[in-house]
Order: sequence, then structure tokens, then C-alpha cells
Amino acid sequence: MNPHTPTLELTQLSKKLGGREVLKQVDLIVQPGEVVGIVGSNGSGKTTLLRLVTGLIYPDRGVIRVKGKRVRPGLLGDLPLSVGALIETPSFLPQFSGFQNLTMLASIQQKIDKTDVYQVMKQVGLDPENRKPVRTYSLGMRQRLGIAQAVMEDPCLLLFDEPTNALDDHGVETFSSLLQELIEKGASVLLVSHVKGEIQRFCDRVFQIEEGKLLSVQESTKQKWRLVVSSWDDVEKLTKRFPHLQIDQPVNGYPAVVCISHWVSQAELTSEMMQDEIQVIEVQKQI
Amino acid sequence: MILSTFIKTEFQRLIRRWQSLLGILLFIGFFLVALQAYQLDPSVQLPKEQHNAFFAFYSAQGWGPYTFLPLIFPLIMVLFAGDTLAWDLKTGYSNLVLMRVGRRKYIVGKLISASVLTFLVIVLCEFLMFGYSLTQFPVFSPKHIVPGLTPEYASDLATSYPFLYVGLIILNTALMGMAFTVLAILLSLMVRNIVAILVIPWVLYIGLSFIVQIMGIGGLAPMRLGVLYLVEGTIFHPLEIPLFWAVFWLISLILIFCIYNQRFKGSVK
Repeated sequence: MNPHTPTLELTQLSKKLGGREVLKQVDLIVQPGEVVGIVGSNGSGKTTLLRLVTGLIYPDRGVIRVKGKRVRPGLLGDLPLSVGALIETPSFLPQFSGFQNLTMLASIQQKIDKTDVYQVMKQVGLDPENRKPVRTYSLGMRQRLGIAQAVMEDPCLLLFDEPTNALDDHGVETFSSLLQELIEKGASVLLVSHVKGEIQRFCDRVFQIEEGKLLSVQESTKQKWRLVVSSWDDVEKLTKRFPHLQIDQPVNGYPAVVCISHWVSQAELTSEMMQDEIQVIEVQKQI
Repeated sequence: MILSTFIKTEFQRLIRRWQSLLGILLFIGFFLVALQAYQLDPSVQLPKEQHNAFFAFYSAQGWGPYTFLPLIFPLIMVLFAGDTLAWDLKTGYSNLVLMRVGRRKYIVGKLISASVLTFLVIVLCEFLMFGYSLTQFPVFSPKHIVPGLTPEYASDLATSYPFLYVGLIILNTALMGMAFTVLAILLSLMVRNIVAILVIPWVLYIGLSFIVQIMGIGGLAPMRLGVLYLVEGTIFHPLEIPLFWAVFWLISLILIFCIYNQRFKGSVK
């Protein structure tokens, strides 16, 4: 599969719920490593949009593709299995502990083992050795567990619906740093939130759902840059910072790459490259 | 690959549930009580044909007045795995699993794991109980059919190959267990209340037994097809009992696939 295939493509997506058309011909493309925010009033269809992407409900019309693979309805259809989601209040088996719940989920795809589950629980601020069943967990603890299950298998697409609901200040901070880490690793994120700060801090683009339509309210501030660097070591350093960078045609034998970033000027770019000890030979902003 | 790991995960989950443990304890408990009652009843001078480990096992299984098991078999059997889908749907946990395994593999995995676990638990418990009765009673089996004293169902097998016969009885019981488990899973798609899901198979088992008896087609009574065939077995071919429960299980599976697919077509959950 082409590594530059969009992580998510929604084409002419429509969904009726209770006789009302909640989503009308929605089009959206989320690129690898992009964070897209969705805002809108209560009942505007934000959660429905996320549910449609998970494949747990079906659109009445339109096509959903995750990493190029079409989500097909029905028992014989296909669900996107590389999506991590936290939609509304997360639900777990109440008689098992948080660690047991997560290890059971992780053992299905076997992408990660118990050590990884242990780590991710620590990361979200939960004690993996807490043997208490989930039914005794507070709402905030369940939310943290929900975040852990969404991110633990390193999915290519993350769907978060009001992720900081019921979290205390420390929980919000923990989530923010976790999300930052995931973004740096190159995950694509669809973030639904009422918290303006969250949306502004993390999202490259923001859309508002109004009367079923998806309206752009903030265009991406990221730009495409073409860099010619002195060696493949520099490319390796860049790859760590930009997991989705594209290798371009070499210029006079020097490697060239295309990456997307928030740099507003060539000076800012050069300064950052110097900090990372990357020797840039040529820079070009791409339209 | 994902299907096999999901089935393995489901197995681990089912084994670790208190409901499964309770089911095993009840099953073994009632069996032991029945075996003890058979051994200790001083009012009855047992004929030689019946005073042995085989007949003690048949007795606990449903022959004679010493056991409650025939009355409550379905109630115990569904405890092993019958409510597994109901819990997933009630808690919403199914959504987390579906996103990892997909819809088709989810329901196939659920049905395989629940059926196989129920089958294995019943086979294991029954073999354990038969082993126990071998230690408590003389190991003797009548070589000839004695009307009224030897089992009527597959009587030739009972007298010629008693160990194989015990195996057939265990197979019948395990198939019945699978059928009731899958029936409970089918109910999970229609009923939300977990207690109701566990109780309805038992109500159907008792209720239908009475109804078909009144209608004059007692041969189709679930209770007779479940346990009483040991006593009134002449009307059945030896293969009819396992076949009946296997077909019951299969029809329930087909219904589950149809309803499950339909449910997702219209679901807004």
C-alpha cells in the first residue's frame, strides 16, 4: 500500500438518525500525521461521525475508507481494525481489573504484550497492579482506562470524543502530553471536544458541524517544505521528527525530502535544523 | 489468526468468571448429592443389575428418584457461557472487541468459544463424576437386558459396552449443554435482562415438556430428550438423541447469524 494514502477518507457521507439527517454529504480527508478537530453544538452529529468511522454504525449513503480500505457494512463486511477510539464513556467488563480488561483486549490482535499494557497504564496515570475490579473505578479512572485502550496498540487513526471529560487537572495534563507524543509519532487524530484550548493546541485543521454539514473553521497552518540535506544521516534525523516525510529526487547527489510543518519562515526552519545538527543545503517552500 | 486468538481470549475470560465456577460447583455438587443418596438409601434393596457404578451414574444423571439434576440441567448449563454475549452488549464492551476483531469473527468466535467451553466442562465434570462412582460402587455391568432394570435407551450398547455407553450418555448431555448455551446467546440478541436470559431456557425446557406431554407428543418433550430417555428410551434410536441436540444447536446458530446481521443493519448504538 502507498504510505501516503490518506489515513481517512469520507466521501459524500450521509446519516439519518430518528428521521433527522444528522450528517449531509460530508467529505473529509485526513492525511497521515494530521490532527483534525471537530466542533459543534450538542446533538450536531460529532459522535455519530466518529461512530461511522469505527464501522459500528453504517452510513445511509457515502463511502468511508481507512488507509485506503473501504469500510463495508454487514456481517460479511469489513471494519477498520487499525483504529483506536474513545467514544463517550468507555465500557469495560466490570468484574475484571483494568489491567485484565486491557490484556484481554490486547491479546486479540497480539500487537502488544502485557509489558506494553503495563507501560501504557502507567502512562495514563493508572496503577496496573491495582486488582480492584473496574466496577469500583471512578469516572475519571474509567476515562483514563478508555484512553489507554484507545492508544495502546499504536493505531494509525485515533478517534477521541471529549477525551478530557471527567479528568482532573493532572489527568488533562497527562492526556495532553500523551496526545503530543502520539502526534509526534505520526498518528492521525480526529478530535471532538468542547474545550477550545484543546482544539487550538493540537489541531491542524478544525471543522464545525452545522445542520449536518461539515464546515471548515480553521485551515491548516502547516506548510509543505522541500529540503536538500547533506547526508542520509540527516535524513534519518529528520525521519525521527517527521515520520511521514517523503523522500524526493536527489539534487546533485544530495538527498532531498518533503515534509509538512508549522514553520512560518525559512529562518525558523534553519534555526531548528541547526539545533538538531542537520545540515541543510537548500530549502524550498512548496505550494 | 485473529479468530483463533480471540477464541483463546474468550476461553480465558470464560474460565475466570465466577458464573462459570458457580456452574461447575452446582453441577458437581448436585451430582455428588445424587450419588450419595443412591448409595445411602436404606429403604431400597437394589437388585444386582442396579447396584453398580454404571447404574449409580445413570441414576444421578436422571434415572430414578435420587436426583434433582434433570429438573435443573439447563439452568446450570447456561451458567458456563450462556450470558457471555449479554454481558458484552450490556456493558458496551462488544464495541471495544468489534474494533479489534471485526463483526463476523466476533460472533463466530463467541459461538465457538461458548459452545466448546460448555461441551468440555460438561464432559470433564461427567467423567469426573463417573470416575468417582467407579470408586464408590462395584464395577459390574449386567451382560443381558433385563426389562425394567437395565437402561432402555440403546440397551444393547449398555449391556455389551457399558463404558462406551457412559460415553454416549455424556456426549448427549454435553450436546444438550451446547444447545442451551447457544439458545441463551440467541436470547441475548432479543432480551436485555441477564437473569431472564439465564432463566428462559430452563422455563422453556420445563414448560415445553408439559405442553407437548399434554398435546400427546411426549416423545418431543425436552426433558425426555435431555435425560428421561434413559428410562423411556425404547422409542428412540440411539442416534436420535445426539442428533436432536446437534440440530437444535445448529438451528440456533443459524438464527443467531440472521438476527445478528439484521441487528447491525438497523443499529444506531
